[in-house]
Amino acid sequence: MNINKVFKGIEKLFFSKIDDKQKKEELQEKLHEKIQQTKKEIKNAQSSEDVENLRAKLYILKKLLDRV
Amino acid sequence: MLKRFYFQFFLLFLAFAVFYNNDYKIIIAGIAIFIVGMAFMEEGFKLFSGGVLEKALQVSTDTLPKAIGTGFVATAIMQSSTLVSIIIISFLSAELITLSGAIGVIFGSNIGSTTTAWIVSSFGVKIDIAIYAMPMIIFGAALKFSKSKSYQGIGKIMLGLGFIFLGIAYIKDGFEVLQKTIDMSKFAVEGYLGALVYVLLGVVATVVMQSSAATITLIITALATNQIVYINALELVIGANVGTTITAVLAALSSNSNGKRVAFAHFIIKVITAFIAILFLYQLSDFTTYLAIKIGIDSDDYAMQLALFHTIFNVIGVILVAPFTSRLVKYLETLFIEVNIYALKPLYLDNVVINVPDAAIESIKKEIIHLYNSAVEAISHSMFLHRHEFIKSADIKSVVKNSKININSDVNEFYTNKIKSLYGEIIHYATLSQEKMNEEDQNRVYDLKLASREIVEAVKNMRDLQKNIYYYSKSRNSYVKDEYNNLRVYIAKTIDTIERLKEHDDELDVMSTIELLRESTKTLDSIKNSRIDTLIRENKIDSKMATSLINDSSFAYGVIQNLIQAATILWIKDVNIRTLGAQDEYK
Repeated sequence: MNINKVFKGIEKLFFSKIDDKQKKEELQEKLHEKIQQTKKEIKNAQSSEDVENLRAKLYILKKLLDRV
Repeated sequence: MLKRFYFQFFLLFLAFAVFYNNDYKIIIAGIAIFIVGMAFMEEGFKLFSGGVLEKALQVSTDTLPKAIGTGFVATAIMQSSTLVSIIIISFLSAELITLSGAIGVIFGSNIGSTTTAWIVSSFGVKIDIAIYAMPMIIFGAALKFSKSKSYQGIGKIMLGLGFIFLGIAYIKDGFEVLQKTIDMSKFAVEGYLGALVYVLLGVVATVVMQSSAATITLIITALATNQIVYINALELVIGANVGTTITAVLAALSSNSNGKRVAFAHFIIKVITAFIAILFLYQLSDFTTYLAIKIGIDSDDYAMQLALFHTIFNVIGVILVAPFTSRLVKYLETLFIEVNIYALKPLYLDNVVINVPDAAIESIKKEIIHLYNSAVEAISHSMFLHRHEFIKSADIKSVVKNSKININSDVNEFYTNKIKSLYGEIIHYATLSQEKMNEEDQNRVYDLKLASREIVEAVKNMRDLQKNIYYYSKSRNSYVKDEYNNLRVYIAKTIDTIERLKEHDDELDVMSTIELLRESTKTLDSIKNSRIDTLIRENKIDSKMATSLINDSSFAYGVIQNLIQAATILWIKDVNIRTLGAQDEYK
């Protein structure tokens, strides 16, 4: 059990940064996809209310992307 | 099924008793006034919490001998052990005194109550406490309106005492007819059977007359007119000694478990004392006669001998029971446990899985969702809305506008009676579960604890908001009414959005919806709220309305942020997505 703890510690020390970076990249990718999708939805929106809502969503998604 | 109608049955029974007989009506009215008095006294003593009274009580009751002394002196001065025990019950209910201290005072009060018999036998009078009722109520009511909290406290205590005295007087009046029918000579029987009959008679007579001193006066009269023999008089005194506890038991009905504990302690002590006195009745009688001669009481002065007997057996009772005070305290603490029947019970906190991290986290999460749902119900009701009316509604504004301001819900009461205990249980369980978890799981539980705190904070913020929502929703000023409706719409929309995103699988979509919600409610932030500024400038609302609105906007903003924060923790599993939310604005 103690050995497991040591291994986990080593893993955290050497690989966590790489792991974190990978996760961040994945998240950025997902957000990019969402942004593109929302832009398409804005183009296809039929009512002005929908456009307004989707623009607000786009603004938030961009804001989230900045935070990653 | 029947349980639901107990109270209705009780009311029907009361109505029958009240209209059936005038004496019953007076007696029941007396009990009602008495209970009102108890409630006033408790409130009064609560106002003194943490002050001089608390310190004085702590000092005078911190050891058993001191507590006994306090009880003795207080009873000797007030001439009523019943009153002292009632005051002690209200002290305990207000948590101004410990249970062992209170029991000590009761011991002292038992001995102090024997001074009444000495006064009665010496002067043939008993101070009638009822005559103080009216002035106490008058001055109590006047003091209650004082600005000073101390005066208010004194006022409430005086009102309480006044009502208690008045209540007792009414009970006595009601029983006067019964009292006249008591002829003690009818029960003259020798031996232990006779002893039991007379003890019981003493109990009944004291309960009826609400005063052991009155019973003793009756006994002395009966003895002087040879209606009963001396030994029967002693038995009646023993019964009177037990009967005096019934009033305290009555008082304890309206108090918390501590009050019940002290009333029961009083009862136990008196019963044990009575039991010992009956068992050694003849020996005690002989000892009383012997001691009476030694201290110079005439052998035919039965009144004084009765007083002496009363003192002796009460002192013996205290000497025998006092060494077991701590055991008695422990027993009473297990006998009467504070149970909040309205409290929300945990549904998922299973102790079997507390040491299995994943299962424990899941049960904590489910329990917090239970807390969230209950809190949202209370928040909705405090805004005079039903969840089914606005959740998933296409037009929340209309729902709010057309809602009737008549839901009988007090969010403060909900917080105190329901939420607080469940929150406590969640925190307790979560903290214990964290003991055997790795760092990652510990952090998840820590986040869940934060979510539960946010939910509780939301209810607390709503507590401040509810009163004004009610007040201004009935206002004639349409501008302020609209603004309060607007606050309700914001909170309802938040609840609705969270409800919708619960069913969403894509966590990024959920996060963006939450952020959008957070962004849209920023206008509620009082300083940035230009709508209120415009209303003030255009004189559409007065300064009182404006300050209420500014404060309440801030409370509403708090409720919304609390709910959003809790929802983020509860319904977004991915830590990376969760931490994207409101990094600077709200922490």
